[in-house]
Amino acid sequence: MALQRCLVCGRLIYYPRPACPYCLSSEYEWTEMQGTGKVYTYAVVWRPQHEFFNDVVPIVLATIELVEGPRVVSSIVNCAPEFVEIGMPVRVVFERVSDDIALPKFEPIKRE
Amino acid sequence: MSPVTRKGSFAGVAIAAVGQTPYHKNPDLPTVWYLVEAVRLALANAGITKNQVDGLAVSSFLLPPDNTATVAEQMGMELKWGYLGAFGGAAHLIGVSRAAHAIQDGEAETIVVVAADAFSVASHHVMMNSFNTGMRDYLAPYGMGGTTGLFAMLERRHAYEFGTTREQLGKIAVVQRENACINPNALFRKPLTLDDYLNARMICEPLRLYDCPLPCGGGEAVVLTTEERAKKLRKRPIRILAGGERTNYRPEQFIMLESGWSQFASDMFEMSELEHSDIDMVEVYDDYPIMALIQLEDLGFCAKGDGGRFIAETDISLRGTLPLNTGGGQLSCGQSGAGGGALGLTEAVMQLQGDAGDRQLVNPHIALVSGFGMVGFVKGLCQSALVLTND
Repeated sequence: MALQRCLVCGRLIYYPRPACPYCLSSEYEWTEMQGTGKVYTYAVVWRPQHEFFNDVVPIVLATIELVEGPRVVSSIVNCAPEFVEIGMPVRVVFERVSDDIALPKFEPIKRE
Repeated sequence: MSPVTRKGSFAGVAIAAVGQTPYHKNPDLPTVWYLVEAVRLALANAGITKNQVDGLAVSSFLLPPDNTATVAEQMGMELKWGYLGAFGGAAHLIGVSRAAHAIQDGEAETIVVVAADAFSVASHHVMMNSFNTGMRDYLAPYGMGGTTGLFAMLERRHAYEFGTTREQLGKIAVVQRENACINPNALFRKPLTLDDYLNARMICEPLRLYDCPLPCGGGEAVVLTTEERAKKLRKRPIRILAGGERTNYRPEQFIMLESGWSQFASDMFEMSELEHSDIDMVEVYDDYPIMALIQLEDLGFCAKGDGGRFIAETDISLRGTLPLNTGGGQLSCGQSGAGGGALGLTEAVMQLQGDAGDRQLVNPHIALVSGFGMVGFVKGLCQSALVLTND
């Protein structure tokens, strides 16, 4: 999972955008994150806002705090909603939704 | 017109009257009808004609491709001053502030500020899926559930950090519904029990049915003019003692347990020379009970995190020490898009002018009204507030 890193001030940028919200520079490079983090907060969507999602509810919408610091919004998969908790460790998995787009989603990191 | 000597003062300006259209579920009428009808009603209540108006402020989500100039055109109004509100549910109060300062500066003498939309649930979902580029590209693809999913995340974190309970939040919905039951214009007038609230259909956990306002058609307008002029009109003039505004408070955060009102609330109280105990009613932007609670915290009625306890321990009914959303709020009246950021002001002015019917508070003097909106990436970007008096 990649985020933009500003080449002028060095900060990570999220959500993705054309210029750095810290220094306004438009020089950045896409930087791979470790792909792990923990759940900062979440919601369980039972009523979707578009019929595209009718067959996949409930959806666990979550704010994930990546180990690198930034918080991102995604959904939690491979986990029943009732087992999701704030603080739960998660790792990224990708769901291909089109030829060009793979959405980063997160699944629980199981204890060894 | 005496010169304005104190920064942030609204001296010399008064609200003459307000107007509010009926609210409609699944409206057939277009947004422009609600804008014009709200203006017509406000002017009639003020006792002036549209030819005596020389400024117009409009806030509306569904208005494009129309705008303030084309709405003026549709109403046959010539303007010296105009404003188009782009701050969501905060835009109406911000428009009132801009209009008041324009009157102080002599740019116009009589300005109508109006907010309206003709929403249905379906059209609201369509709008939220493409509300701005951030939401469209990075939230909607996850099936976020509209703004309800976003504020569900906020409520859960507030509960995690501060122990806020569903029962505390439910009291807001229940008491506001009591107020709506005696508001002839509210869409929801059947009593609501705490049990109903706690066990209602789940929308985006933890938010359930009675956490969510219903998008509808409706409009609200307010007439501002000089204090001298207002004294000669039909209703008791309402003065603005203070106001405040913020956009993108704490840019790097989007789960906003605290928001922009925290930055200007004490300035407003200082400017007004008031204490919190002087407030006779507080009309907050209630898109969700959690936001009503956060506004009470950020406006300084209690400490951050104490909102739940404060609500539980305070009589927020019409008979209480701090009447909250005395008309029922958006949760029980309906959310008419940008009009949702205006109904609190309409209700406050009606109360202060003695026109609140069965909801009338006994001899109120001071109202605090707040606005909120323009959801960007997860958070509501804009906050606004005004302190009003009939003294």
